[in-house]
Amino acid sequence: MQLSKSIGARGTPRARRPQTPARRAVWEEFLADVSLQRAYNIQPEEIESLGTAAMLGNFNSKTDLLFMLSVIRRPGRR
Amino acid sequence: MTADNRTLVADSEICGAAGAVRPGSLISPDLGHPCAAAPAQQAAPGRDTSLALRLLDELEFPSKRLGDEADAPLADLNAVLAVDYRAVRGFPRVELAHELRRIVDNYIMPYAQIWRCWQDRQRLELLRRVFNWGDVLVNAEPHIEGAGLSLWGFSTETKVQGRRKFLIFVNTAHDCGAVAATIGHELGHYIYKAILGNRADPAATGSMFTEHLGDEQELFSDAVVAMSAYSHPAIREITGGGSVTCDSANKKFPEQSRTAFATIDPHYRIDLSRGDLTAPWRIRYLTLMVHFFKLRCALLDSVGI
Repeated sequence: MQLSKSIGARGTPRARRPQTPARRAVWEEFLADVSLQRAYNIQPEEIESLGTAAMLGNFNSKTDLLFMLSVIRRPGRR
Repeated sequence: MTADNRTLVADSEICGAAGAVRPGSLISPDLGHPCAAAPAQQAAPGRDTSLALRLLDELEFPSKRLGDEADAPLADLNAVLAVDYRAVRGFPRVELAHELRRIVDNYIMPYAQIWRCWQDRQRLELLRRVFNWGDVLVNAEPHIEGAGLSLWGFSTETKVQGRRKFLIFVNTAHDCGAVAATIGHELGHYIYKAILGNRADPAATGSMFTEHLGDEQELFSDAVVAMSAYSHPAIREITGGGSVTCDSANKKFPEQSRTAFATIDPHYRIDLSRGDLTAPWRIRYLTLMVHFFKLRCALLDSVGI
């Protein structure tokens, strides 16, 4: 895809809006759950992928984050 | 579930099982389909829903017997109806909006079937030519556990065999029009990052349209869908040209909405009159369609695109 160089050179991403307290709580609980991370052999780069995911909708619990992890681990389709 | 969604489910190649997490007992067996029980959400006592109720009545979706579970979706619809999209914080900058139009006109509109390409291997060559699709992976499956339909989709970067890939997940338990909107939205994130780069901001994203209004990347991603769903001539015809005010002050809004929903690109069309839709999901899908319509109007009015 050929993108406008002028935009890329001049523009920068705007700061994102803050996440909701409920989502932050789920995320921090997930990060703090070392035994869960060990049980599922979750790697640092997988944490990064989860943490930087752009979502349409919501995750409500660690269950949803584990589901997202399972998606990230699949080879996907090109 | 629609016929198209069943096709996706049957395509085991889309969702390989290698390395999959075994959810075990953490999965809660509730929530799910728009045709079944809707996810429980916090009610919104005291929030104004008058605009939403009026629109439902004018669109002839009875609003008299909505239960408590419809409170939160109604409040979201009301918020989308009430806001002036031209003035929201996340509205794309002018130069970015023009770049968006160039991309949509040149790389998306000529390939209207792009939203279906990821279901069809024979069309993948087209995607590779258009979007460097080799760097994008798509996983699609119905997700009804946990957050269920509340998780429409997501995108992120991940490493596959040492190479960074852009991964899109789409929850195909949704109506086909909503699935198309989700993949368009996530593709919007890919385009935004390709233009402006990524800003690492762990878990700072998500949620639905009312929250998108304050976030340029989210609203840009929605604008990819809005621009694809309504061409420039189409939106001018719907709004009658000239200045467009898609808000509660515009008495023609219900009529314009009805026309917009009927003339939207078929890939994004959602049949809101389906008898098997629950009231909360009918309202959520209506909110989605109103959101894209208002955003498209604002892009025409503010930027002229």
